[in-house]
Amino acid sequence: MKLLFVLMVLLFVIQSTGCTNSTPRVKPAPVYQHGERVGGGSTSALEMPEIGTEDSGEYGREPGEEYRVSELDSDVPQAPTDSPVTDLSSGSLWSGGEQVAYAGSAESGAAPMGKAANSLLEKAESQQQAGDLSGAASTLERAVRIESRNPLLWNRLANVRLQQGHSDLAVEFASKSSEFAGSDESLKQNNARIIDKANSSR
Amino acid sequence: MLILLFIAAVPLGTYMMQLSDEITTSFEGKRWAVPARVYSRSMELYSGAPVSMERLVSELKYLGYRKVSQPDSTGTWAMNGGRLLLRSRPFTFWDGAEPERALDIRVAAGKIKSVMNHETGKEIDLVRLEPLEIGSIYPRDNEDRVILTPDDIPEMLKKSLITIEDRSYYDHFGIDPRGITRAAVSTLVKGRRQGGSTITQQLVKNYFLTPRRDLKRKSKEALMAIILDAKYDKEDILAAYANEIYLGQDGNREIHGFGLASEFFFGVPIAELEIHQIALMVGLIKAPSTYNPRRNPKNALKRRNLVLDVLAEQGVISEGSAAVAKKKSLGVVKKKSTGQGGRFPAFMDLVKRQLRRDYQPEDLTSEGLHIFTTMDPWVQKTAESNVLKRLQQLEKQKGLPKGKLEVAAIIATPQDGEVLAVIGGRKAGYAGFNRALDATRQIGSLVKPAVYLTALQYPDSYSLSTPLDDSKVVLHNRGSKSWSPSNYDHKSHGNVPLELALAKSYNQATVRLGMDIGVERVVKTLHALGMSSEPDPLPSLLLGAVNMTPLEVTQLYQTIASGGYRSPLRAIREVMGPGDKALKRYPLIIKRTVPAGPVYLLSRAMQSVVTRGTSRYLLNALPKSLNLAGKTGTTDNLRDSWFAGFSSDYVTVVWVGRDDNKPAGLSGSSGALRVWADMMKPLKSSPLDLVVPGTIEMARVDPKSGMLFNPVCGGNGVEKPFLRGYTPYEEAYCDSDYLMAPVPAQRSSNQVARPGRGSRDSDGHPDFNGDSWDNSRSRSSKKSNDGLGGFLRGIFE
Repeated sequence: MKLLFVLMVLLFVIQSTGCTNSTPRVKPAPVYQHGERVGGGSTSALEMPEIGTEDSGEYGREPGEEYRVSELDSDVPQAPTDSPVTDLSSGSLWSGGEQVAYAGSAESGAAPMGKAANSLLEKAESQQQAGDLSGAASTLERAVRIESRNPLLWNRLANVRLQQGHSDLAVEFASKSSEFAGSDESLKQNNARIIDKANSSR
Repeated sequence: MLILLFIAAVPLGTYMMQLSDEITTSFEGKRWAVPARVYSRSMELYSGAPVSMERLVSELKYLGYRKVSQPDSTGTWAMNGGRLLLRSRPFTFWDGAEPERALDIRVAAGKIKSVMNHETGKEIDLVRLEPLEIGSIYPRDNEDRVILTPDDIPEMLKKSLITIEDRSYYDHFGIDPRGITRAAVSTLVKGRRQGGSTITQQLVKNYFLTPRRDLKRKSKEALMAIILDAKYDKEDILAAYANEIYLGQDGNREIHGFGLASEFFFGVPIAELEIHQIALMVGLIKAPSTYNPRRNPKNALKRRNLVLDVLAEQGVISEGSAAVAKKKSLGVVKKKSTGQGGRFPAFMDLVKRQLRRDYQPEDLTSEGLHIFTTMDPWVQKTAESNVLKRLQQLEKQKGLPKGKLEVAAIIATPQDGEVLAVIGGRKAGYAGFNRALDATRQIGSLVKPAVYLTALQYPDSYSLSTPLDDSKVVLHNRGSKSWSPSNYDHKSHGNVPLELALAKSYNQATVRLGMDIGVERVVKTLHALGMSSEPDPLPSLLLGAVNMTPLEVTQLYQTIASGGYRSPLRAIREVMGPGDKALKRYPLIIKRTVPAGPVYLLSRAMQSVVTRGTSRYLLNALPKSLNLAGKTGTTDNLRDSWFAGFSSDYVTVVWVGRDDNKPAGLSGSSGALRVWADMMKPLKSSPLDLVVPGTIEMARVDPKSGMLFNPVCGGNGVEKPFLRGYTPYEEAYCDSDYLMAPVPAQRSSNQVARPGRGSRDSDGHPDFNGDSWDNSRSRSSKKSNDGLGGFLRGIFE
């Protein structure tokens, strides 16, 4: 009995090294019932850029790309460019100097920022500097959920969107920031610059 | 003899090779269709977070955290002198991993006072708890599972499995000849069938084969088991078994694998299971239905204790710990989900419709996506429980037939349009007709804010204090009967300030106002606010003869609540794929669609609805300091009862009525408003603090005439906001008879602005330009067969 098994296994090992063109006879396991999309675990077909972001070139017009600012306005640039934000002021908008000025916004009239939102702001800034603009936007949106009326957060969101080439959104966020900005004139000026820049790139 | 054997072995070997190929293709690809898992938002803990102790503890309960005296393992918490000590679970979000943490949380006055690391005593800026799983989207074969890697499976579970199911697992080569012999003898001699299957054979049987029990299939099973064992690691096969095995039923849904079973029966991740729970699950394998701990707890207990005895007998656990475990109750949690909708079918419905747009059904049911939604379990649950109570109370109070009142509601955030809760009907856990998304009903007076908002964009004619004529109005349409709407109280109220006419919801004044500015303009405003349909611009529209779903109404009021920025309502934030890869974001999008100044004025008038209009009930039901804004809506013969309103944190719409469209016997304020208040009360919102746009200035006016306050006449006058440059410039006459003169139906005369003083915003543009943004383009182009419905398509596309 045991000998037979050993023999079979032996044969099977010998033969399986050679031939590969035999076909399965049993119906495939459940995972295949949905057709050829599955297998290999690749998900590239599922990936969608956020709003036709800097990645959009790679994907052509995938379904996800249509979502969209176009829901609200179809004038979103289809092939956004990386707007060099450094043009906007002496330094980049999120660079140390200006950020510090806004972080201490209590003296400039706007509400002070809590530690939680501030930690997210810092995270978003490092994401932005590392070129992860989508991630920075996501982090800022999380911060906005915590402090939905903090003008600095809306300003940063405007900034990230501008850099992504989403001029329309940048204008909206910057305007919203200014509405919450109270007497923080420097922040309002910064928003105005974002709006100018966005309008000129449309 | 040997030669004979060899000859027999050749075709057998060929056959085995074919089987081998089959196994390889299945086993080395993706082994299962992995259903998408849908999560709620996650609770953010930070100093100042609006989280009361009650809310925090509820969240921990939803998440299946256990209250203990010393929280030293994940998923446990304790109270210690007013501090909540918590050992959080690690969780991987789309934007990174949140590690396991020992937290020390203090709560005071309904807010989190501090969050500290319990071990280091250091303050932590921000922590996210893991989100609550609110459902899964599984394929048509109804198999639902959570995949475990070999490392995910607790050692104790592995040992117990092997001890109970296949003691020689690590020694045999896929089949166990001694076991087979034993089974064969038993079957032949005692006439009793006995299983001699190894774990490998059981896996083969469940995974590759049909459940027939004949010799041919048995032999094939044995051969495949041998091949599987020869080709793959024992640990890998054991993990596959642990993921494949069927362990229970939840309606149509089949519970497969220990990963899901742990959540399903005990409400905790598998890593947190104790020995008595492991024993219960291992015991289930033999007969998941017979030993179902919810339906047959006695059988289950007996079986579990038998398993514990065997484990002790085999030295897997000590006699002592077996004795302790046997004393424990089954530890099974109440069943949380039923069918595809999970615990929150109405919300899941919205999620699925949004997903359907971007994903193929098979992606959702097979790719193991993680879907992070905007749902707030606390908001959803408290809303659900309060709604039913109030409906029953209303039926009793008003002598209405029992069980006929239906309800729908949406709670969303004003600034970013995230949907926090969806109520689809009075039976919250029941996945039936989703009224919040699919019931299109006349909105009645909920349309009025759009009428007034339109008027307020013509500041040379209308301000909050402009007197409106509320006398009887008769409209003649060519070819049809004349139309003469009356007020709710069937009275005329003479000249009333615009603000009060909205607050009191006067129909006659509103129709006159709407006819003056033009129904087409009102339709345009409705589109700017977020309406998706194209209603005929008939006068009856001014009183709400237009059908919308509660969701669509929520969109309209979100735009108002955010000061004129429309955000397409969203139920999903992110989708994460296998390997924790972020696949798709649904980002925050805002667009100013109505000008800030007029929206501010409208919001002030909507606050008057609460302070002196149709919604004064709220002044007692909720703190006055909330400064809530809203509007009631009632349709003919009390068929529909609506209330839509907002605070700074929530914009909430409630509909109450009957499915058969018979009169429900409730006005907006006697029905929906009550439900609204009950839903909002536990949420402890912060007060509505309207941002005053730069285009607004204040002026002291005579409350009756709306003209500038005249100190000569005595009294104090009232401070009212106006669009800059459009404050009244004529002082009031002291002779109040002046007021009795009806205001002409055309542009009113007593409020003409000074020439050249028109309001400009900071960019020098008029603040109130008439062509507010209109979304007709996206509205007309799409045809339906995606199940979204006009409005949802409008949002999601």
